[in-house]
Amino acid sequence: MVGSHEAGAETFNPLIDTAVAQLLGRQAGGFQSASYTPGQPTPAGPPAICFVGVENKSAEAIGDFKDQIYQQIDTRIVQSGTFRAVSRRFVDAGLQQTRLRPDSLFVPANMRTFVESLEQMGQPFDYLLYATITSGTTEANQNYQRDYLLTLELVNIHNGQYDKESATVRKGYHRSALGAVKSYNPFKN
Amino acid sequence: MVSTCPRWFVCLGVSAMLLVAAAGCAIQIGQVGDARELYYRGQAELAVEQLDKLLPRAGKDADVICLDLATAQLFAGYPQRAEQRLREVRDRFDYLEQKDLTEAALSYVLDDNQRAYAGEDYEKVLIRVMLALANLMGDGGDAEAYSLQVTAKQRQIIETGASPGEENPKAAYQRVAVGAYLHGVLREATHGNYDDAERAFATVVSWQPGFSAGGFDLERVRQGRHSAPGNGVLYLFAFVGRGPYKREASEVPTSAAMLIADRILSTIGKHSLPPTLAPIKVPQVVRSENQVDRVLVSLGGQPAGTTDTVTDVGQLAVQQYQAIYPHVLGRAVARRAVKKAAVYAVKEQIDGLSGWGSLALDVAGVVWEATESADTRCWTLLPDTIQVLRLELPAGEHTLGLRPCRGQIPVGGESRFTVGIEDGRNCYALACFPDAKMAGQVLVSGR
Repeated sequence: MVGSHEAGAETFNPLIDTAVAQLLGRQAGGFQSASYTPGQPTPAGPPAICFVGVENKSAEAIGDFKDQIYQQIDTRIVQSGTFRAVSRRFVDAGLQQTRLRPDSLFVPANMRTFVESLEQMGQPFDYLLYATITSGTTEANQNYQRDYLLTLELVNIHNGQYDKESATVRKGYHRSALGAVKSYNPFKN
Repeated sequence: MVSTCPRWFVCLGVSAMLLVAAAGCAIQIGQVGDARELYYRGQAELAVEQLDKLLPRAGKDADVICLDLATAQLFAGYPQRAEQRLREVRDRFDYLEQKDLTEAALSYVLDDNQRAYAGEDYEKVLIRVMLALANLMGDGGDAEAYSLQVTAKQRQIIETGASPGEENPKAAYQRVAVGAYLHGVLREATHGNYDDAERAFATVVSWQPGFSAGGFDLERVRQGRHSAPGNGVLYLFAFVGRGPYKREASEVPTSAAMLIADRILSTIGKHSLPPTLAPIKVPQVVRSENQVDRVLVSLGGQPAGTTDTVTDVGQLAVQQYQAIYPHVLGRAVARRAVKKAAVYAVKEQIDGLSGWGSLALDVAGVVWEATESADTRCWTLLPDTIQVLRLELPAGEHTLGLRPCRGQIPVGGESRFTVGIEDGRNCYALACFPDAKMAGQVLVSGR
């Protein structure tokens, strides 16, 4: 379980903040928002991001921590000021209405269906954001170490441009007291 | 010379008082049994009334009566009250996981009934299952949290089952799959967390391989979707059969071995030990004989399916108890040893103890040992199995019928109820068939 040994919300949250800030920072310049058509005046308001969800592909169930990661990312989008986030309730309603799986939204036809569904709810958007948690495990004697990689994938639904950002969290598991002592590092956060 | 009479007389007096106390407990157990029979006969509301009356004078049995009361309340149609009671007992059981030295000492002097009942491991897990189901029948807001607690509690129980370096008897515990199942169901219903649902259903399939619907659930969340547009899903949970219970059993081989041992020690020692005439009594978890093993579900008068076991409560209770049985027996033997040692110590303190005096103390020791009774407290209104049937139905009102069966043969009448299915959403129903007659009513979420 994330948070049981070395990495928890305290470690995860700053990494999420950094990853979201870097990803959005790169997209912030030179973007025309959802309802823009050439020759028409640029609509007011920041471009909108539809954050579909967090998929856990790691070796462990992370339980309620997944929803916390979702909320953390969503909050950072809202607080960025340069982007607007589509409320999760609309995202859930869109998925329910279309019966599309989040992992199938990147198929062009599915994306169009989903965009139309949210537009009908008065929630047009410009970007789809998808987060994935993966893990990699290495073992040494009685201890093992697991790296968690949080990857944020952002797709511009108008032109298909794609960007991504990752953050890594390392967890060390010590099955013996000696292992914990050997791995102790007072300067590690 | 110290007079021996008052000492052994006091011993006999104490023993007699203990026998009277044990008889008093039996009256209480009889009254609780009546309430349970009412529940089994389908009169959940009356069972609630009777258990409610017993609760204020239940003493150390209060928590098990609370558990039975919560079960009766749930099926009498009061899920919020049931949830409140269950939460209280859950918290108390968690608190009682810490050791009380006074109670522990008293349990060696008398018996395990002197301890506050802290719940068997399977009960601690199933409280959380019941909490999740009770909450689903209410607003459902905490059901996911409870479902996570089911798995977390099992993990904690197993991880703390032994000290480092010792063999852990709890490592072999059969797991309660219904918690993971509920988690999968709830995550799938979000339409956005199929990965969590997949992980949960994979856990269910590995923990309860006989649950045939689990494979379909797993396949659906891997490749498919919650439901077709225009449809919703009904999850019918059924508590089927009478659950496991504890009964007092005599450990004859151990008692015989102890009798031989105390005879040997009496021969070679300075004083005799009270002979092990009263058998060592231990609680045993046993399954009930049941006449119902599934529920046939009909929709609009046509068969729609039968419920399938997602957690075999009876089997896992017996299996878990067998895993820790050596410890239960060990404690009972240790108690006997403490009592014999106490009698021996008294004899050592008395100068010039006569043969009759020694005999009187042995008799007192035998009486003292005979007053022991096994701790048979348990949550008796648990079902034998927790079963479920998933039905994808068009949005709208539907009338369903439930009929208890043994194999394919119906053993009771049909109970009808109505559900409102919403497009893309889950609806939950819960019914209890301890016997051929349904206990209380069918509960439907959102009502």
